Amino acid sequence: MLEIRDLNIEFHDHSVPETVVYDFDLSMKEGDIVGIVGESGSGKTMSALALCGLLARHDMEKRGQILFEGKELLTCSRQEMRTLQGKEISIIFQEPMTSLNPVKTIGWQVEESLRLHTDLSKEERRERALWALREAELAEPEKVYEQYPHELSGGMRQRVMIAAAIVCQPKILVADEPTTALDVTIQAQIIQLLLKLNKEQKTAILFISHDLSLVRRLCRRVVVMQNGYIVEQGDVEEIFRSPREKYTKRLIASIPSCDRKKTERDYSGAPEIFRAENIAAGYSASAGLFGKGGGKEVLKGISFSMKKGEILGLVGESGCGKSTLARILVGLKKDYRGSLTGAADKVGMVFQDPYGSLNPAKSVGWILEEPLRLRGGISGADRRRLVLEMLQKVGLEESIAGRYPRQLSGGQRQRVCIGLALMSGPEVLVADEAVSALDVTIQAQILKLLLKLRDEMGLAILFISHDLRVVYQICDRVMIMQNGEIVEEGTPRKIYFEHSHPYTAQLLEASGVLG
Amino acid sequence: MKYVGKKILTMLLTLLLVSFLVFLCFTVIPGDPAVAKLGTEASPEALAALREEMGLNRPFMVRYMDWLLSFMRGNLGESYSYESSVGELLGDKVPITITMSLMSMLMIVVISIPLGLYTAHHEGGILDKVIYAAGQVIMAVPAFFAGILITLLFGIILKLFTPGGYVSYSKDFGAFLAYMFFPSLAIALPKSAMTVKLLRSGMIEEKKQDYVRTAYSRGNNTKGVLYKHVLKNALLPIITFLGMTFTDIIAGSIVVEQVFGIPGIGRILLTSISRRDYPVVMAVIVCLAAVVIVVSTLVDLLYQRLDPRIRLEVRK
Repeated sequence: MLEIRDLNIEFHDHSVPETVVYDFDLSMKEGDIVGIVGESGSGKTMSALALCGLLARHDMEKRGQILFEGKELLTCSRQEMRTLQGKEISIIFQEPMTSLNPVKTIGWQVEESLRLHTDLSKEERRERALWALREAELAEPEKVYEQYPHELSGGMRQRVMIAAAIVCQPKILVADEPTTALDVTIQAQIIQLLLKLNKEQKTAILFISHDLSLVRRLCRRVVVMQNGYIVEQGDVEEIFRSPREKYTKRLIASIPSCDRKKTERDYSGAPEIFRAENIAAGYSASAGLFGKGGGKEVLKGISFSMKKGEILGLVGESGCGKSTLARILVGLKKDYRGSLTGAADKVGMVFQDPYGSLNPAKSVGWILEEPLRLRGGISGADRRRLVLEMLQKVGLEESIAGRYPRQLSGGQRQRVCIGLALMSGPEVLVADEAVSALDVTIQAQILKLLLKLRDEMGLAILFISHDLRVVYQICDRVMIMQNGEIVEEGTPRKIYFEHSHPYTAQLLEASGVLG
Repeated sequence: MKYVGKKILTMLLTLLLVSFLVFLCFTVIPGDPAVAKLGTEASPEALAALREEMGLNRPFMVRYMDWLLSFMRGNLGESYSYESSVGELLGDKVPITITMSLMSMLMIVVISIPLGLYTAHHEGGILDKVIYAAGQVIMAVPAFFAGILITLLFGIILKLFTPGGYVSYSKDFGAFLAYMFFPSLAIALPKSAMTVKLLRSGMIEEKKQDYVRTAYSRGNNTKGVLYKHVLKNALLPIITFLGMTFTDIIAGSIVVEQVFGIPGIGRILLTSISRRDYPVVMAVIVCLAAVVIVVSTLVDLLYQRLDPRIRLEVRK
């Protein structure tokens, strides 16, 4: 059905042409599920976009062949391509929050492909759209049909994207990191949904992900890409069992495993340096206009303590209150009840997004110096010395000080963010999804850095994450949070293998960490 | 419904505040209606007598309340300098200014939305560059100067209209509208240039959004993506801008009326201020404030119609 041969994609927007995909080959039959795995910049998304006819920039050159049912897609006119887009070849994207038009109803958007490709009547289109919404397992499809994207959660929006993609019953569905932005439990549901569609509709799925373990749960065949090249492809299980290439081995090795034999550190002798008691907080819905504003209680009495050098994991789904707690701990949210004692004024924070957290107009040196300047009383020469020391501490070269955030890689930026959080000399570091936006190999390096800093400086780290594998690997103790409450707490081994709360079980089940 | 009621209440309170501030202003600034009426040569006794007669010697709050109560009863008072009531004086002038403002507004929409769409669609093309450059120049021309240029070009050189040949709307409505065309254009041109630029950059910014890629993936062509997806999103900030612009248009009309010799409220406002004819000034300013507030409320309501995200908040 689909045959891609020697696909090369080259950008010409710089003086030297830059090739992002080399000699990409892939063939798919009806009902196939194929995964493409690789880190950012490996060319996986480029190849998929080329297949969907969404790479139509003037400054790029595509060579090779993409044959879809005998039709050459690379050389066909855009008009011909449009007759296939949304009808035979559909795509869903990583960002369900922004991939839908905010001012159009869900129904209108799901029906769009029908309006473009069929001459069904208004009534028939509605029927068909409702069928697709049901097929995507949205409860109350009639209601969703009338709603707007902002009224739906991320998981629901991704279901809507899937409904819109399958409404014409395409032969191929390209899924570009469709679950990366979603919680584990939602992630598992979406994977189940894709499997169901594949089975019932015989839709072939090209699943693109950086998450090898996720690909293993969904796909039969996998293509591993690195720097634009296919390094290995074949049966998923086989590749997991006996990877041939060094890169594949490294990818598999960097998936943190949940080994029951994990050695656990003993903190009974370590001094307690931080304690939070009965922290409760809420957000009041903007009251005033109509009198009573119904507030929402986000945190319902959270208590925990941390010892010197301890890494405490905090796990929960979006909206459970994790980030609110983090904001309270670092002093960004002041209206809370309860008490913080110990090193409450010595808390540093590392955020999720290493791209957005650094001022793009300032050099790394300037950014790192800022906490010192604000504190005052330190000479310029001393400040510069401290900045260079910090760069070294977080594993960066001194020359980085003169560069700007955009000139750094994601991993380097996150190192800068960690350095920045440490500049004011904290004893507690709050890392809010600090490695979630990074590729696995970079992730492993940053985790190593955090462990090193803990050992060298005796930092206590509150490690907030939705990635249960990472949490198991790095944390000494884990708290499971649901709806603003800690429902279970204990050592990773206890939480993962001897948990008692049903929610913990549900999270572990959805994430598939236990195999 | 509750929301609309709330809006109306806010509007009334704003108007009250405006009227109070204007009244206060004219008490504070130097100038005396009695002197304006009798001249600087008048004897102090005659001035004192006139002030007494006009009620100017009463305390400020008494005068304000007096004005407010009669205003609410629909009585705008007597003009100091014209021998007629304020209501009569303004009655036939307000429609002129309002017509001109609405015509300008319409022109801005008719000129700028197609041009904004065109330039966004053909970004980087020759016509886009020409429109961009022309817009930069036109934007910098104040309305009254645009009026002078238009009079010169269309009135004196091309003879498309007779400068100063204003026709009253009660005499010949068609000729009235025809004469109002060019003054309205003078107001609309600089504002249109701004709107084109805003819409163009808004569309280009929206084109980078993720939902645009989704729209292409369903088989839309560029035109379909722009008209069906991008336009409505890009129009939202434009609506806010146009609402604010309406205030500018009314302010601009006062000056442009002078340039084209139109007997709207602009002219009477200027003379009344210099003659310290407070009842007239108060009435004009409160009327203009009312129009501005009504328009901005309408814009708010329109915005909510168009943006479902705001509609939800209101429903809550």
